[in-house]
Amino acid sequence: MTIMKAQAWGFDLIIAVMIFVVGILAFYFYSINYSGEGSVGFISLKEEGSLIAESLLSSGSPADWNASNVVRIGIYDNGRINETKLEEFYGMDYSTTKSLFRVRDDYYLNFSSSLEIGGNPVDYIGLLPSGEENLAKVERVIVFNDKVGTMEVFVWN
Amino acid sequence: MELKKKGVFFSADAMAALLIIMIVLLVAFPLVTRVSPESEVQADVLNSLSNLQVGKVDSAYVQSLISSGVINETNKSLLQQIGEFAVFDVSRARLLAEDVLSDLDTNQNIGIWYDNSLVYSNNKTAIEDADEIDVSRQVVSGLQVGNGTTGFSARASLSSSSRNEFFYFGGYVGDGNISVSVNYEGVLASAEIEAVVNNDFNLYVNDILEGIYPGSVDEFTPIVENISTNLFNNGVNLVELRGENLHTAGGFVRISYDNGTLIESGTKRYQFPGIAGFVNLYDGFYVPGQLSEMEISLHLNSSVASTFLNVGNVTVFNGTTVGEQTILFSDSALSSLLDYNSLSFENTPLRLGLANATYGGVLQEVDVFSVTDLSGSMRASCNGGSFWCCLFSGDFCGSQNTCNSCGGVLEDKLSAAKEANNIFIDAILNSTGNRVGLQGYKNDASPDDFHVLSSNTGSLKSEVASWGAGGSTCICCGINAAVNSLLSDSNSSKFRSFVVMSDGEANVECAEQGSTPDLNGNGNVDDAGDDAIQAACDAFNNYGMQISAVGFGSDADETTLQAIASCGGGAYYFGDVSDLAEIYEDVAADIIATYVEQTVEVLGSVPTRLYPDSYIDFTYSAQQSPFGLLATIEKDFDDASSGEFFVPLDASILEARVTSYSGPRWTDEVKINGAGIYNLSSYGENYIGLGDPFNFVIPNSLILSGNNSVEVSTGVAPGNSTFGSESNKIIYTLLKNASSFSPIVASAEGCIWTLEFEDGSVINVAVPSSYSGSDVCTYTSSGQVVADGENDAFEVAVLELLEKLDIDGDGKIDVIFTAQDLELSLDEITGIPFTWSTEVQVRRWLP
Repeated sequence: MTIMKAQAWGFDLIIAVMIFVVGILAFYFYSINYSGEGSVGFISLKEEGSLIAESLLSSGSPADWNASNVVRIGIYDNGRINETKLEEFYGMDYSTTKSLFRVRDDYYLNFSSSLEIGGNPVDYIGLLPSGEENLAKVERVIVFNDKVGTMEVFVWN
Repeated sequence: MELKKKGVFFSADAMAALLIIMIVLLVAFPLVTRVSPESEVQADVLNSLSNLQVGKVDSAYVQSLISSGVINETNKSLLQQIGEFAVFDVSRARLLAEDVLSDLDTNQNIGIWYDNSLVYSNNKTAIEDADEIDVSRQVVSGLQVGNGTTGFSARASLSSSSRNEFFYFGGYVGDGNISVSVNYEGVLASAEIEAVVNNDFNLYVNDILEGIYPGSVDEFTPIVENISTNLFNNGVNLVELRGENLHTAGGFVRISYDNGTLIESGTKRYQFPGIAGFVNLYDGFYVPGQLSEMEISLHLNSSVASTFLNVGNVTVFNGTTVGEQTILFSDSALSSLLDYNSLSFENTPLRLGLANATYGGVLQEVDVFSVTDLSGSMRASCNGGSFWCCLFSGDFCGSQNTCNSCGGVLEDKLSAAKEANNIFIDAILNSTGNRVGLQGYKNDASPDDFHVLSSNTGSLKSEVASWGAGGSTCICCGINAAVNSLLSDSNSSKFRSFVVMSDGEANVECAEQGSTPDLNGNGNVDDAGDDAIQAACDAFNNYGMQISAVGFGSDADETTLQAIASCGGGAYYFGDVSDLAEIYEDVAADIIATYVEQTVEVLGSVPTRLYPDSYIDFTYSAQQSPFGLLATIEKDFDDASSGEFFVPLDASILEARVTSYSGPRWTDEVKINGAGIYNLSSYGENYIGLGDPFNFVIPNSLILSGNNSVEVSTGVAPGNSTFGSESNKIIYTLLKNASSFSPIVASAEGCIWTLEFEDGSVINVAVPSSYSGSDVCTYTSSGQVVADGENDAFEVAVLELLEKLDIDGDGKIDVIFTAQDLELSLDEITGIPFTWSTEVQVRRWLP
């Protein structure tokens, strides 16, 4: 009787410990998967979008940069888009631009004004997502072609 | 059962613990958090609108505004242009903003505000419902909602003005035809003569009859007549008064003409007037610096009579001429005779006359009151008489016999006073034209003890005989009654005086004197003695009446009586019963002393002549005059003794003169702010040999910014001083900055101004001259009105200029100018930092 009584207490304790540990672990992994990954990812994409926009809306470095000497890509001079620099940027290798922007994820740009480079209409600059991806948009107001318009930077992974 | 129950105990406990932990974590750290996307859109909008010039905007609407002239400055930023539209027309601003932001493809709520005015919005939810608002701000200068898009500042100034110049007659110029040289270079605007002239006269300008004018009504009131300017020419002009035995007792010819700059050359010329007849000139001059050289040229014909020229009290010339002759006195000759230092910065009398002429022979008529103490202390008293003897003497020793019989000496003050008054009456009335008035005082100044001014000796002595003693001592009552009687029955052309006698202490006050300070220094303010002194001061200061005082007996309050004489401009006498008659004799003698006036009795023809090209040249150390616009102002005296004038803080005094119409008397004393600048008696006691300036230069060093008071008195001998004329005036010239700026205001259109000048003339002038609108503005003594208030730069600048030119603030402009003299310039001012500004806000909000 005495032995059986002690065993019952022992099993109960073991089961309780297991329940508690499993519950804690389950809650931990659930909370990590539910909020942490999505929020952090979105913020990261937004930050990368902001980095790209900030860089683009500057003169870049050096101020008269070109594809061969560029350190920082910027296409905005005197409060408006510099079309020469825009064409230069457009002609650069995509992966190079990513590294110059110091972003890990992919991006592409849209302008509210119709964009023509080298006489050809251009719908976007960068790399379009291929399917349903995480996507963040950073919107900036610019002066382009003597008009006030918007430039949208999409970053995705 | 028991085992089972015990076997699930820990498990149930663990599950409960897990549940509690999860609840706590969920509450403390929610799994779903909202992440607000950060945005730079609002800042970008602001930057874009700031960076894009309106002339470069790719917009058909904007180009149409430019081509239609609605937008006329294409280098402005869109932010400025929208703001300019927003000032007056928000809808236009909104159209422009919507057009230039039409490509703004955003789902965010955006709005643009200029100050509190919403100009543009692109929103899906109302800002009132916003949980979060991001704002970017920028200040746009040169704009102020409700006040215009650009500012205007106008400057108004006077390029020149009509300059007044005065050509003075002397204090007395006669007797015969009188002329004065009038010299100017410029365009003559007006000419006027103001002078005391004894007879009707014909006025000639350059030997051409200009008009016939009446003489002055008396020796102290000038005539004022306009002179036709057609007869004048540039250069020297001769203005001549022709008539029978004429003389002027002060005056001037005033011209107003356009003139260039003021030159302080360091030389000055005194120009003698012309006199054809009996040369009798009383005048003076002022050297406005340290005199270094001097020259006199006398163009004279005095072959039949010896002529003398006195500068101050020094005779420079005394002799005859051989026919018409010019006598030149060189600097070396004059410097040996005259003390140049004493002539520097001084008003000096100048006298030119005939040595052997009989002057005046005219006694100045006097009206004099005897104000006598009739209080109880004036009763007869027996000094030293036995009390018991007098008690039973029957008349308390009131007579000489009973007093003497009781061993005393009778002192009858009243009888002595009566005797003195009788002597006084006889002495004064010994001269024709004099009058005596009587006023006794006790508790008051009773009509029973009064006799009006009269030359009737018998009537006056009867009044004296009727006097009896009794009551208190109201000295001020007696003085006030005498003053009132002199005011009602006499006038300032006569020498007005009274003598006040008292044997005791004043003990009755007068309401007329109000609250008086401790004038007799007895430690009590506003007592009867103070009132008596104040009454004497009032009589002298207000009416020029001279008061002498007589202390009578050992109980007399000499302190108070001396103060009465001092403040009343008279002498103080003291004596006892035995002296009183003699004292009154002396008082009368002083009053009726033979004072010779400036006029002469001309018997027969005395053909002497002073030519108006005679002169005195002075060379002195000139002081540099500051730059500014000349403003000459004439300020009339407030009464016959004094006047005031005002010097603004922003003006420099160039010259100030006070004129004195002294009639046949001499101006004996001139004071500025209580300081004496001229005292004729310092040159001698015999006035007939001294000059009499008509105008006195007031040293600039004694003139204060703000109000200044000037006092003038006249007389015919030292100690004989009275007031002058109410026609006296102060003529002063200021150098004043005559330009003004308006603040930055919304418009600059102009106005048609009605302007009133100090001389009474009124002009209507459009300012600026190109103004063709209907706004009416006035600056007159009736008021100052501007049509557009503070919103018209021209109006504001002109109003401020006129206020500067209205030096005495009476609504009449003291500097006379024409429409051509008024210069206006206008600055249109844009982009004025920190003056007008508008804050532009671009807001972006989230619901």
